[in-house]
Amino acid sequence: MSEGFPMERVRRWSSRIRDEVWYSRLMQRPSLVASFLLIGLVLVLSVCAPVIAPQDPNATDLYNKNQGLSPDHPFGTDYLGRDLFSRTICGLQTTMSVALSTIVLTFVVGTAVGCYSAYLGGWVDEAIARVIDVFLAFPTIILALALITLVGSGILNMILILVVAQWAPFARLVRGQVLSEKNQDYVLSAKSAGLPGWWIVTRHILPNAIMPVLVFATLDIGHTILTISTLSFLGLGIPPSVPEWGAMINAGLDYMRIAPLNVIVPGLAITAVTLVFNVAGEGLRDFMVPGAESGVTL
Amino acid sequence: MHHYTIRRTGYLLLTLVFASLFTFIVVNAIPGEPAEILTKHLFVGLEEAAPLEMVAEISERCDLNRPLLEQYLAWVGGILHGDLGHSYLFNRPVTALLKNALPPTLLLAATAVALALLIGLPLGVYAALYQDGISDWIIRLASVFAISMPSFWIAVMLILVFSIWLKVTPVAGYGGVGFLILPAFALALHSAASITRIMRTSLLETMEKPFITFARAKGLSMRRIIINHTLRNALLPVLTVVGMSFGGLLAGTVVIETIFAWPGLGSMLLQAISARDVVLIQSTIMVIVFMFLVVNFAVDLLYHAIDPRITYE
Repeated sequence: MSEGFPMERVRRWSSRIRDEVWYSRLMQRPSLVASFLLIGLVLVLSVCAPVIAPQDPNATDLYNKNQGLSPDHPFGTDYLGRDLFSRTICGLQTTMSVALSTIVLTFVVGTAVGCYSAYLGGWVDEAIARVIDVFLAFPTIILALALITLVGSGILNMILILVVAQWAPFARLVRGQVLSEKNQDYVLSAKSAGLPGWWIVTRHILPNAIMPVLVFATLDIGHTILTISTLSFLGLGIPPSVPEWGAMINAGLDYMRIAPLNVIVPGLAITAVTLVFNVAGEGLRDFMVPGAESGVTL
Repeated sequence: MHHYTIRRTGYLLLTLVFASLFTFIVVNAIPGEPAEILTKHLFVGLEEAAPLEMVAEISERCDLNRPLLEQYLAWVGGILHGDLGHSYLFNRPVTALLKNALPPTLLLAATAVALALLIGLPLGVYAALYQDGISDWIIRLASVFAISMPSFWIAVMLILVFSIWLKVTPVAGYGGVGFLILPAFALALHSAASITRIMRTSLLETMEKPFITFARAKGLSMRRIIINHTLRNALLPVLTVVGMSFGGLLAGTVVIETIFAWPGLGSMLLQAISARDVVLIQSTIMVIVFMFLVVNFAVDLLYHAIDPRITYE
């Protein structure tokens, strides 16, 4: 640690955080804290996946294919003798990188479109609202399937497709939030003070409107993970050379009778990771937006 | 009410027109000459360029030579006349293919919705009645789990357990009730979990309302309060969730039907996509979008009829 490290300031900050109301409220919800710690664990595991994996996820060993549980292969091996544990861990990295990039991009696009549309109002807003309606008319998988035939498979294309297929609910949510905020008195006073529109939106309206959107984003990570694995299961998402859970299950189908672990292990991995994000998202929703549980939008 | 219905119908039609335009553009922008891709698909192993006369014949038969705008207008006009063009993958009229594929999908989706309601409503009510008890806790945990499982994996696990290990159901196919159980259940589980959760929350919320306190003060039995006063009011949000999960159900049919070799819209769409049969892809997608929009529209109107204070927007 260098000499200039502001230890005193860190101490002051941490004591100030402990005095905050939200801190004590947060500590009353151990499940929310636990699920966020688990998210941290998932992120660390996915970043360190190549180091943790005991074997090369793509190394084939035809003498030891379709094996059961053993000390060498804690989850068994697949039809080419590849280590299922290593493939599952590396699959986590694939899934998390695609899912998180998708969510961040979707969040940015949805928020920008929603804000622009709602704050501007008039016919532009009306037109954008109709465009959102058109996108909402397609179930996510159907839209993604149509787009995949257009741009082809691959990791970057997958992210692009998922953003196009999912931005509309975000934009609708943000638009509704901004619409309900923009006629409040504080916006009026900011306007009469002569502040520019972009400043009012980003500095005044968004901080008041963004919380439900953040909650929605957290909940949507689980949904995105499921969509990614479904598309790969159908053989349309991620190229076969990259370990991915949905594709692993699809490949394991033919060997289900002799090596059921091939389909069980990746499915459990998908469920576990999705579960962590769902529990965190719901905890966050109850924490940040009390009373929203029965709400239709969330 | 009347004005509201008319406005909503207008929006519905507008959305349908734009959705069809969007579908047409996306599907027809697929790179490569569709007729050539198809010829290659029909004759596997044809590595070199497809014979020109064959490509020409397919283009001719499926009207692929005309300008795109003309093709779009012909397609939309065809929708109105019940003629959707010719599928080159199956070499049959698209209308006939859809007519064959629609009943199995509707059967599957309807069974799944019924199953989801049968599972979800009682579980939700039960969990709410024993709030914070051990059964409530188990039901809540199970529903979060169910929502976190991909439906294709549920299907694979059901096949593994019931068809391969226990040998009580057929693996895949179309026919009697035995073939329907597993796909319907795999499709229903997500909706069942959503319905359980919304039923529980909504019931608990309604129980807090002043009119329930009044009913209790009047001395009514808990049983009558729940059946006559609470349930009816608590069912409104459930209706929305059922409508919304119908979209998920329709999307789910693509993967579930493919796994179980169910001859419906979903498996046909996937076949059409892998063969780049644009004529079939666009019409199948529009049928799915149409069903989705109409169900949501119906739920919306029903909602409005039950509680006129609520409007779209």
